[in-house]
Amino acid sequence: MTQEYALEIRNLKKYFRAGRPGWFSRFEKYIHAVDGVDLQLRRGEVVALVGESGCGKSTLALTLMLLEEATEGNILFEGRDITHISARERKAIRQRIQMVFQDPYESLNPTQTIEEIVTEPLIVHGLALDGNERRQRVLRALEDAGLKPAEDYLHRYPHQLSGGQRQRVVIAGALVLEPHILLADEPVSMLDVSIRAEIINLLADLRRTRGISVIFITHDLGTIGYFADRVAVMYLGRIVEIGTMREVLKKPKHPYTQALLSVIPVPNPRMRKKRVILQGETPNPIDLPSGCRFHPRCPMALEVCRQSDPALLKVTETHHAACLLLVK
Amino acid sequence: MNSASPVGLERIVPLNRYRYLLNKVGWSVFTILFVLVLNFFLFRVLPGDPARALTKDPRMKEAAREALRVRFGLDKPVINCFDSLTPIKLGDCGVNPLETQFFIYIKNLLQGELGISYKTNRAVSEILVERLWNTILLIGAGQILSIFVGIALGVLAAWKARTAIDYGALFTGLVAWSLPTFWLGIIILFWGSSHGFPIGGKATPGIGAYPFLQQAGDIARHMFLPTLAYTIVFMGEYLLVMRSSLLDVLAEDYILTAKAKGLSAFQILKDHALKNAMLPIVTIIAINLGFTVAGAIQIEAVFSWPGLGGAIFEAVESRDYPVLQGAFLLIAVSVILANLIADLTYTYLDPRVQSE
Repeated sequence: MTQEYALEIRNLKKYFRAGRPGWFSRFEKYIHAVDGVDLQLRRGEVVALVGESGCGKSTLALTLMLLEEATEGNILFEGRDITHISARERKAIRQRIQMVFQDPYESLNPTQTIEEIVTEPLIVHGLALDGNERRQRVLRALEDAGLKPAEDYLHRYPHQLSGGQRQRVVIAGALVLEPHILLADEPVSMLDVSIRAEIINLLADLRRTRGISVIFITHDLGTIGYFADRVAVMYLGRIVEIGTMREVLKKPKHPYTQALLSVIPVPNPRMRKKRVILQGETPNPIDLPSGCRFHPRCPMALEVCRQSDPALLKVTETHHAACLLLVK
Repeated sequence: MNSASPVGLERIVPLNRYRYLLNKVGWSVFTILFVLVLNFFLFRVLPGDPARALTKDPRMKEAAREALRVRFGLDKPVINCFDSLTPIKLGDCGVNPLETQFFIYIKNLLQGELGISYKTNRAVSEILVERLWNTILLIGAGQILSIFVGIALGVLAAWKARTAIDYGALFTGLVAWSLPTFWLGIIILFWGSSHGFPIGGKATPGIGAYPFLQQAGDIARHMFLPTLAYTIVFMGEYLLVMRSSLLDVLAEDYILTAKAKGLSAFQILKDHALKNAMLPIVTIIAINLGFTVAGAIQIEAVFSWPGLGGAIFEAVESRDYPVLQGAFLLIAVSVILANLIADLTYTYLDPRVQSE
């Protein structure tokens, strides 16, 4: 338990085969869903992973959950390489890394009661075999997830709860295993705006009281404002900018981050911002553009951007961005 | 900030469940009454008066003809103000209602009597009960077999989706489902006759004199071929529905969640997928079981099985309206009851149903 990092990702790649060589093409084609991601998650840290839909952030989460096998690269959990481990070891790791999915209406089995849903992980992992202890743990997880009094919820079914309450049940189902890391894949995007803050506050509380590290995946820079320690911006399977929340939100270096930030509405009618509206669609992740993968849409692209693919460059000790404009 | 107010979450009282059950039973009773009335008038409105068909022999004396009409109750008015409905003949509106055909029909029904067959002169209820047992024996065995085989193959196909096993099962299911029943029956009949199976009827004549075990063995041998044909045809439907239903469920987010929680593939199938995937199957089973009573006319015809389907076929040929009327009522009641059972099973399988 002396490791500084709860999770360390080294040059992680996940490709999906998009077609076999056949009548129409001679080569195998791959979707480059995650294409070389490096990321360190410290203990008790919250990292927000931001990007458009299709940028690979959900695939990254599934790969970290070991639900998809990495094509290349390594995932280190508390210093130990877990990229390719046996099914038995994988099950043990799943106790420590838990996930909260996007849609609380889909991620709960409609035929189980809340008690069954939250108890099941304990049974599967053979924890708390004594009935009384098991019940106590379930009640505590529900209360920690903000469902109070927990007894009132035990015998309900998911359809009897609101969206926010369901998401709390999902979180309770993850908490009951006492994980070290929580992967939250857009946990609030399906919820009403008024409920979003509650769920984000809940995650912030859990980090404070239980010391859980959180990777918070979102497409909305607005929802992470007062919660994340660091922000990583993803574009086409890669992290293009990473830094502390203040650095990325106040002084974005990558043109993509600048464009994302410029379109967030600001509740001040006097403040005029220059909006950068990106042209065109995200390129096809099968045939990636040459050079910098953002250059076809970049408002500041130079000739050199077509040829050379930038790595993450240091801006400050904590702030890195992958843009050739920083080289000058 | 951690307080989620339990607003709008009234405690689930068992009352909810009873109300749901009462509601369903009430509607079933209402539907049966409706069918009862409709069924009676349907056979009074149908063209081709059975009484006249029965008595149209010119050599028949008027007195004998009248005696027949009295025997089947056709001398009474159908209902107040109407002596007959085909053709419409108005009559006295002041008749004692209990003296009309409709109320006599209802009264007999309450006593378990469905009338007398025009053709065989036997009580309809007696004919139907005898045929019904034969049908339940054959179709019941076929249904149970096809449900088990079909669901098992469907689960296997979905579990091994997009492999050779899946494609094999899918192909088998599609072929089985689209085979014409009578054609498959004839092929099986040919095959069976050359392998020593009896090719028709329910039992060897005279077997009644033998001990019970021998009788049962004889009936089983007679049942084998028609049951095989029936199973193949219905298995396809169950297989296809089960496969697609399970594939839908396996793509749900809660399956992924279960995987992330550390459940093994088998645990996911057993604890999460099957129960949810069974819902559409329950509907089909209920509907099919309801129609079980109607028999499988094609199979019963090919294998000369003395079931209800055959009885309906014969009754249509000879315009034996009381038998048809009784059979229709029996089928309607069993379909309604089967649907009621499906609704009740739903409350057990899917907790969302009761609270609607």
